[in-house]
Order: sequence, then C-alpha cells, then structure tokens
Amino acid sequence: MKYIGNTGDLIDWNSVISTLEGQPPAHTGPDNSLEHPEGIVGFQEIRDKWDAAGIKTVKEGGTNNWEMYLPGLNFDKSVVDNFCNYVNADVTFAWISNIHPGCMSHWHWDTSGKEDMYDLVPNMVRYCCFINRPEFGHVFMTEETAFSYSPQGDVWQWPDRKLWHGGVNFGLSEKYMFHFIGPSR
Amino acid sequence: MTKFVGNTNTIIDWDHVINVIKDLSPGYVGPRHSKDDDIVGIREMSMLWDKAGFKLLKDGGTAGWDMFFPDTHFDRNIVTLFAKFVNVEPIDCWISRIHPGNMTPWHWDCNDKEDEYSKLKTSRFTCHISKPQVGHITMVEDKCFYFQEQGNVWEWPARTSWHGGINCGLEPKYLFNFFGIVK
Repeated sequence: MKYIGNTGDLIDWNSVISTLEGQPPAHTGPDNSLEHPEGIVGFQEIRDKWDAAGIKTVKEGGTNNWEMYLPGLNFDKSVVDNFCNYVNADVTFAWISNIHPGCMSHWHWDTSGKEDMYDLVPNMVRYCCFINRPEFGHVFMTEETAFSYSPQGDVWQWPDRKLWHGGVNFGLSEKYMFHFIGPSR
Repeated sequence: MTKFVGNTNTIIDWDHVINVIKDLSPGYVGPRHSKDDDIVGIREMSMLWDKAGFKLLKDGGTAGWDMFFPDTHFDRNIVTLFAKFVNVEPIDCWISRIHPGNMTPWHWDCNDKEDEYSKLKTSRFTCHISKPQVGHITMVEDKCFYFQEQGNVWEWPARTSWHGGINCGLEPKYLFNFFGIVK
C-alpha cells in the first residue's frame, strides 16, 4: 500500500457523510452478491472460505454486512471529480462503504460481474480514502497491514485492484470509507 | 502507552497450549457480568454497547468470547514461565478466544475485585499466542495490533485500559491475558 496524501482540504468529508446518514444504500454486501452469484468471477472462492469459517451475514444472524453508496445516486458526483483530479485518474467505479458497529466486511477481494471489462482497462489503479474522523474500533486491513486511527482524508493506493482485504467496526459509530478504481491518466 | 516487552516463543510452546484447549468447553463465555451487577464501570460500558447496537452471543448476537483458565484448561506452569518472563507476581490470567465473525467491543476489564485491585501497583500484559493471521485485530487504547508474531508480549498503559478485539479472519483468535503485582 502506498500513501498518496490527504484530501481533507479538498473535500469536506463530514458534509459527504452527513448526506449519507439516513439514506438507504444502493447496495448491501454481500447480500446482493449472494442473491445473484452467477457471473461474479471469484465470488465462489470467497464464499467457500466464509462457509468453512462459519461466517454468516447479518440476515443469517452473523456480522458479515456492509452498505454501498454511489455517486450521482447517494452523494454528489463532484466528490469523485475532485478525487479524480487529486489522484490523476479517471473513474471506472467509485463508492462509499459503510460498516455498522458490530459488523464487518469479511476477508474478500472486490469481485464484481464486470471483471471481463475491468481486466481490459489499461493502467487500472485502486485507491481508498479514510473519510471518518479517526475512531476506536474502525479498522481496515490487507494481508499484513491494518489501518486504524487513520487521519480523515488520507488516501492510499493499492498494489492490486484484486487485493484481499477486510474491514471491521467494533467501535461505537458508523465506519465510512471512499473507494475508487479507474485508469490512471 | 503500550510497550513491547519481548517474545515468549522460546520459553512457551503456544501451539501446544492452543492444541490443549481448542476442543475444551470454555470456563464461560464473556461478558460474565451484566449492567444489573454491582460492578464498578459496568453500567457505563453497557450503555455504550446498547447505544451502538451490540448484541451479546447469549442473545443471538456476536459480541462474545470464550474464556480459558490455568489448572482447569491449561497447565499452571505456563503462568509461572510467563510471570518470570515479565517479572511480575501473577494475580489473574486467562486465555481468550474470539471465533470468526465475533468480537469483544470496546471495554475495560470490569471485575468484582476492583476495590482490592485498585490499591495495588499492577501491570497488565497480553501475549499474541496464535500464529499471525488475517483478520485478527486487538486494540488497546490508541494502539492496533495486527499480524503479530506468535509469542509477542505487550505491556498495557494500565490494567484498566480500554480495549477490544475482533476476528474477521478465518481461524479462531487466541490471546493470553495476564496481570499481576510489579516486583
């Protein structure tokens, strides 16, 4: 993971979060994927790992659950435009995730039904941005690195769009995070 | 501030300890106390958990952890070796286990002997006894522990430090917990 910088002066993340609060998400993971797993490259492998470990979704009485908010639908597209200019990349897909207290996005990589298309995009880059103020119990992790108490607005570039990762919230408030993939300019 | 003490892998075979307890029934599933108990700090903690929406394992939720104890579940000699390593006279110790998908939300170790303990000069330690694994997180105040080398020992800022743990990995997460009187 490569540290890029901080967007706190560029984007008012508190305001963005305020617009999301109380809105229904566009998608709920992994429920949407579980409903239509066909055509999602790699999802079965993830699901097998979850099943072997006894992981359950919130619907099933477990903790595996996250919400996805989309630009244009849930928050202003200008946020993405500003971010594009900051990282010097065009957007293919961007979203804000939210994990409720007591929930987690279990170990996975970002499978989608568009892998064939994404694989053809040259110079695809993946970023995440910590948009909450630092809070106890908000942790994002990749294979060997955990991010906690990250400053609001911090941006990190991933080594690979398909990196395995997870996020947890055993804190006391909602955990929001901005995600971005697209070709570098 | 949390302080790295050292690694116990050469003096304690943690894989063996885990192997001994992994199929045993725990002493109990935490948390042992509820907000109605007359325990210092328990009401404040319960209110925080309720407000955030945590649900206990016994109520069908995922906030809960297994507790294992010396003599009952593992050899007392482990405690003796550890106490010597950290140079502290043991008061209490246990091994906690968090299953994948479960957690110990933000808390401090409320107990029914707080009046007695608070008069003592104590040190509190944790030892990461599982092999490093994805998804195993422990937090103590402002410090997050992840992918810790098996056997690593950390001293806490205080016995009463707020902390929590969570397992979004694929294997159970074991942690050795210890506090005692500073020699």
